Amino acid sequence: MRSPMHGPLLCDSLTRMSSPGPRIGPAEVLFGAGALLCLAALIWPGYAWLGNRIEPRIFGLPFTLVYDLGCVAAAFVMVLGYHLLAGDRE
Amino acid sequence: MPSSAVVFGVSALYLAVCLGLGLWPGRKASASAAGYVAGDRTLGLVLMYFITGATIFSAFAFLGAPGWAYSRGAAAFYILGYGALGFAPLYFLGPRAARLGRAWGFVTQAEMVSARVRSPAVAGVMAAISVVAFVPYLALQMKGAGYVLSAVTREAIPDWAGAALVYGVVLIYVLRSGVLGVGWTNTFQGLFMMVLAWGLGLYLPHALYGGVGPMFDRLAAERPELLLAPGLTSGGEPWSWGEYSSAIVVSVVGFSVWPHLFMKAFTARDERTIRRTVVLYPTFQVFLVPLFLIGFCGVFFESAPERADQVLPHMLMNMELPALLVGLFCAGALAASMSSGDAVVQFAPAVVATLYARKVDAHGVLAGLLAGSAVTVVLVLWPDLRPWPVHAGLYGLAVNLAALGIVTRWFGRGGSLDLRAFYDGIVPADEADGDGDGQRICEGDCGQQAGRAVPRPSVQDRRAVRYAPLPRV
Repeated sequence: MRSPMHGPLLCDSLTRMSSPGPRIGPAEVLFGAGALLCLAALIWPGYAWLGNRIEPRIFGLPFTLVYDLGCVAAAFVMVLGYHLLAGDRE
Repeated sequence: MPSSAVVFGVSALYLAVCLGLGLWPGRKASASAAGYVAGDRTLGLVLMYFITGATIFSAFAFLGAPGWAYSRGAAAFYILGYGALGFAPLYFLGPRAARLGRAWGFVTQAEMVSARVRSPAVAGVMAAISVVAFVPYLALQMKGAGYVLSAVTREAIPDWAGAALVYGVVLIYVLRSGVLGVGWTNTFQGLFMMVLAWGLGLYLPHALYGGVGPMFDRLAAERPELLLAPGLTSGGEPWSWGEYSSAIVVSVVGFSVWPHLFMKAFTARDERTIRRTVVLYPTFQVFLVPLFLIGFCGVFFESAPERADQVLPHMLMNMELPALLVGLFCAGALAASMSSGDAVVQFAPAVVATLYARKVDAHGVLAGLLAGSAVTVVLVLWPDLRPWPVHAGLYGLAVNLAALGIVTRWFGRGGSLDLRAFYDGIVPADEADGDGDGQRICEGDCGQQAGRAVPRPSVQDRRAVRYAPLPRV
């Protein structure tokens, strides 16, 4: 005897997703490319080539630190941009 | 010399405020696991922002970051590096986990993974790895709290008593209020840490060198190796780019699946709140800058601390500072230690596969977790075994991924929930109704059938069948 609590079907069409797999559109491709670029800029060889020097100093801070902060800012802008463009799509 | 009584008084006042803030929300949470661990899934953006930020900026950040900058120079910048991207995966993983949490009643990632592959053993292994990875992390927080109270009271309060006092307060409000108490205290502590870190980070260079610029002028002239990546090892030798870069990669991959961070996805009011929290998270990184400045201040200080991570309290206790300021520092360091493992990165493949892969298997997940963790631990203990000088976690991650893929493909036991069924909250009927008649109530696309209305199984029903035995084939 089935419990009446479960009813005839054990699913809820209202909460189903159209596609539970990863959805990859242009925004996701751009986001992925941006994230990889940010990561490449933070590690060797990107960091060594682009950011690893003391001069020019900005607000008294060495360029190495300012460069890292720039990468943090770029990551923030990238995630914010994706959020505004496609954040609530799923 | 600051007065120990005033310093301790400020710290005690701070602890009393934390206790009050932590106990107050306990009246609001429901008497359930979801109420205690997930705050009834009601946390809004402000609480989520501070609860994630303050959790991350632990005693390691407040004492360890200045210590790294002081002794290892630019190597400390790797903390900024992984923080820039480390939370981004949660933008995608978090909302899905939250959706599943509401549907199934999950409050931890181990519950979620084990439900998908229908194996309580997976939850057990993930719990064991978490404990092994987090015992040193938690011990660090307690030692940090004990050390700070001991140092600023000139050892009038021993380390163990300081740690017991601070964590006694934490224990009371966590037991009473669960995650809601943590949320409110973290908001207070987060604001307090930000103000204090910036205050000290700007004041100390000014007091010792005449400003931030003159301090870096001297460092650039006399110790330029401290300002260039990848910085130094703890022994003072040049750190390798491989170690620096792989530490960032491993941290970026593993950061968002740290159990105490990932489970915050289950506490959020809605999916939009999780996404906004992730978007705003990098702003917390700016808090690290004054901590680096404090560490660099210590390089030319008149005396050296016994250990690098003591550089901040060492400077404060050896300068002519008002006792109130030292007391506020003490409270800030306690905030950092109250508000908060390499092996945990091994959860990432299992969590991503659970949320995205069409095929995932309990044996595969177990093999990946165990093999990846074992390789990481072995290479951490015996670093000379590494073929290349990169982070041990990266080798573990590679082995984990390979084991997960190979075992799932060729040696899987089957029986995991279909991805769509997982999101839809569908369970095979035999486990759900327990009648053993060999028929499933619902298979495949069963959203509508013969025009009948679709009943919704309760969260309790789904929890009850999560670990049900596999259907007989």
